[in-house]
Amino acid sequence: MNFINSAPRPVVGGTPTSQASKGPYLELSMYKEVPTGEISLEEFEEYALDRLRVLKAIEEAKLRSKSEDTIQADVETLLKKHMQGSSRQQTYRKDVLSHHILRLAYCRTADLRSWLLAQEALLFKFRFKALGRQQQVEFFSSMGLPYHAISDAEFEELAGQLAAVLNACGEWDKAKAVTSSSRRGDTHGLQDIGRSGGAAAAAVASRPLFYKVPFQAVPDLVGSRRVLLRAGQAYVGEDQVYSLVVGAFRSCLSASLAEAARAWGAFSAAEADRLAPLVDSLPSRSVYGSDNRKVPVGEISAGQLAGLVAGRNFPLCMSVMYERLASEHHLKHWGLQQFTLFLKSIGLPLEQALLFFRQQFAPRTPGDKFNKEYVYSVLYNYGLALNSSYLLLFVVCRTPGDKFNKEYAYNVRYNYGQEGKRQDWSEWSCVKIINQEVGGACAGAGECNGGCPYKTYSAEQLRAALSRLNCNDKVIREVVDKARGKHYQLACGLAFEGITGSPQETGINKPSEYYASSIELATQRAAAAAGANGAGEQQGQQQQQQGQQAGGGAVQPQQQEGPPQTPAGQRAVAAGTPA
Amino acid sequence: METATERQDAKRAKTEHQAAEGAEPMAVDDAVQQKDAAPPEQQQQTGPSMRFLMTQYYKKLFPVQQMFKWLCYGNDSSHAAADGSFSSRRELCFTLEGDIFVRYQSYKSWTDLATDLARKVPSKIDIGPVYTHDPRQRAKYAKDFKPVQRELVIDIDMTDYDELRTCGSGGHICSRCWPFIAVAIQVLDTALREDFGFQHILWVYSGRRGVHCWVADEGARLLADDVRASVVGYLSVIRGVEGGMAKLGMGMVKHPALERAERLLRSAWRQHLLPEQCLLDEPQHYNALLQYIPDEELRSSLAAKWAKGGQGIVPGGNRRASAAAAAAGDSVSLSVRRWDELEKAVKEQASRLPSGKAAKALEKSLDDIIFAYSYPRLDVEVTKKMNHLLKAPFCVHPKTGKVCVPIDPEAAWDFDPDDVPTVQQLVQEINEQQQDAGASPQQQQQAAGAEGWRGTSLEPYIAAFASSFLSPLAASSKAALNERAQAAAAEQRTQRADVSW
Repeated sequence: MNFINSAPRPVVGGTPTSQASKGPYLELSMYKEVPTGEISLEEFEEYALDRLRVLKAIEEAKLRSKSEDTIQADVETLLKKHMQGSSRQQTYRKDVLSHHILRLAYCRTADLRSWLLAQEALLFKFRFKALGRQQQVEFFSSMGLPYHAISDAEFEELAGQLAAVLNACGEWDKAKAVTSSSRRGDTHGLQDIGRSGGAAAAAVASRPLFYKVPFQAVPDLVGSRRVLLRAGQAYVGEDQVYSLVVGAFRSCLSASLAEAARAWGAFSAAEADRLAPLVDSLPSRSVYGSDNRKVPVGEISAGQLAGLVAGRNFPLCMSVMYERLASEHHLKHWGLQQFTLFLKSIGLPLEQALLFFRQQFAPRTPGDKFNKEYVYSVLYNYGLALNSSYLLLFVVCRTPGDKFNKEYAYNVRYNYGQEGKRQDWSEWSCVKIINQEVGGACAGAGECNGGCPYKTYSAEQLRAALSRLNCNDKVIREVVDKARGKHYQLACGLAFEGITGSPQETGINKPSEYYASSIELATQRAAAAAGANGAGEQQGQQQQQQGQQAGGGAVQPQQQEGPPQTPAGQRAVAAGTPA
Repeated sequence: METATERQDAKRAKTEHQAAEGAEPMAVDDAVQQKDAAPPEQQQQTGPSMRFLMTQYYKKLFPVQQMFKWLCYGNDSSHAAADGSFSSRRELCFTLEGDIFVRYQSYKSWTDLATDLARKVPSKIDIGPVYTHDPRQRAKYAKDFKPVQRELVIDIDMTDYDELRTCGSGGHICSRCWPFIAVAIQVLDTALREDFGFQHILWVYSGRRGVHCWVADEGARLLADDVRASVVGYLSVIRGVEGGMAKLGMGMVKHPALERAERLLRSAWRQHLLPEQCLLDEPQHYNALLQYIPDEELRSSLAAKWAKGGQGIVPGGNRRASAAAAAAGDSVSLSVRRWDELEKAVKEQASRLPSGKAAKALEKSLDDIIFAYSYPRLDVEVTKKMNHLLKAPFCVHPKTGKVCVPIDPEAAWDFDPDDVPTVQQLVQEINEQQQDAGASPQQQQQAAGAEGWRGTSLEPYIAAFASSFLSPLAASSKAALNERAQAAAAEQRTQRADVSW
């Protein structure tokens, strides 16, 4: 834990465990030694986020129940993309440092610890499995675990059952290898050796090794019946030693995390001004910032919003807030914040946003109140200073000058590049929305305060909300399951599939990505329908017009607005739309 | 770390399975259970009240000394390596009248426990884990208060067989559905001994519709939660039930453990399950079973043939009569004959199939049926967590009055849940003894002391508990203590050697 402050030393991150070995990922480490040396703050943050990108991608792949082989390939790509340095030394340094930084960042609560433990163990497993057989055996023996390969006699005795286990796992080739090498033990086999000495000797050398270990050491293999068990001992094949190695890694890391948790207090006190806030924020950071996808829509107008909502193009979090706003003419501060930034990110210009909110709030809010409470916040989100011309349109500031200066001026100056770097506020990511505190006295706390409905809604509420969006019943069940499992973003992705009838492949990390996918799909379908038959062209235009018409504020009945499942469905919709 | 989510999980698991008696610390749930259970097994309203009976039971019948000795694992002895705090770190949970749960009880000695039992008269006792500290003082230790050991437990509940059994459902249990349990005990007991190497295994009838298994080896008691889950994974084959069919987690080739299970299941299948459950007598039952056969034509031809065949040799499928008929050899029960027909038809059809793969798949469907119908169905949540409570042996089931007696796994087939002594019966036996002896009641009571169960129909069960579970366990507990003492002595020697240097 003290690697940050310790005196600089020549070698950063220690030396790779196995100098002799080649290949890109050989420097697999148990991370037992705490690295020493200097690291810049930028690197510190970048390394941590890069490793998080890898870990979160693995977690997601696992949650989507991708096959082991696919994830294995994914991991290789991910490591190349995020973790490779300019040299082997650099790669190793980054690996070790980033691991230790995350260890620190994820040590404080039991939830964080178990998350990091699970993901790091997975990463370690895939990296270990990527090693060649020889290297695996070397690494395994270098760990000094107290396990021994079984003797020839024991192998002979158990060969039949060992082969049966392999067959039951579908490992036909390995089973064959076991049966064929067991036969050489009998007299028949000896004669064979006499006849063709060389080949038989080779077979002897390559007899599959099995390690005899207490079953407690390999729970994953036991739980899936992939080992032979006899009297409490599991017979672990040489290509299964990853389970032992990962087990040792897990317990090692688990102990280190507990230790880090104890040391956290001292660390955060010593680093209160420098590293502690940074480390503290890591678990809640979005790791997708660097390569966000572009929302492929141009400017939209305030009047189009109703049509877009009715067309089920908004993610659930936004459509519930829209409905709330439309029916109650009210949103609380954080809800408004989340919603405005979303509208901004999908291309609603400032004057349209002000128009929209003015319309929405108008029925209940007197002009003054609207100006005072909401215009400011809208302007703020759009990154405009209060002294811009909009102030002249809406008399915002009834706040006495002093109070304004004291409470808001810093933020405004910050917004406008007079404090820190100039920043145009961007949309809230799903991570931020999920972590948003939405509690409160307000009855519809979720709608008022924003947040992620997959997290804040009860199963019944979620079911009701999704069926209002004509989501497929089977999918609703899956969505509720995912939400209950706390996989909110996956739930959202599934809901997309249930609502539009088409899978969402890229994942949803921001509400606007849901919107973008939905619009993209609609455009594609319109184009496909247009190409499907001669009359299609006109319908395609109708479809486009419909989108624009919706801009006029005419809300179409929902059942007619349902995104078409097939070109045939498309025609039905087009026909059902009044010209 | 008994978190709210954990409890919720347990609760959910429970409502999903309509699960086990005993395992659940939520008073609300048990109240629900009571409603479900009431009709078939009304407790005897005539005669003395349950409260009176239970008072008598704890005073004279409950083998409190033996139970306490078990849960101490030799730490109650004066052995040098004995851990004196062991028994006071073990949680017991009492259920008092009105389904009030009193958790985190612990006792230093069997006399303390006996006194408290006589005072509180719990309708149920649950056994929890051994913690790092005395559970009564858990608040003081907050985060450091954790479970450190607990027997590996398995719970089998007859309700999980409801869609299979033809004799009843819910809280029902009878000698006709006992074969499901008996074969489950056989399969699991063998696997626990041969594969996991456990030796100290106690099987207990839960008093109503299930059985519990307690594995008391030190290795089993120390298993971490993830390893407990892996044991469950190893022992489970049925991954759920969908559309009336069990989803089986096994491929074309079986793991040796399942091969062995299959041998046990197959013999039980023809000898007990088919004749006693009459699984192929009635259309609704054989149609459900035929679902597992992937060949549509075969299914419908057999169903059509059987539909014409009418009733079985023994109408209504009375167990004793049917079994007797089978034993006599003059006739085989209808279900067994039909099974033989099915087996023959499947094999013939398979031999006609051009592709070897399809033939194998068809033949495997026979195995699938046997596994789906008779492989043990575990209430997995009970096993997975070290801190799950489970009802103690020798409790009285509050609804049936039956005592939770041990079952000899070797003789599981001969066990009859209807023969289990009830608290009513036992108290009556004691009263009769006293009258026979003619001694003054006071004297009698003193003479009986803590072992009033002698001479009652509870005695054989307690004797079996002591001889086949407690004494081997005491021997290995002692061996473990000796080992610990030696290790400590060796440690001391090295330390002393260090000092002298």
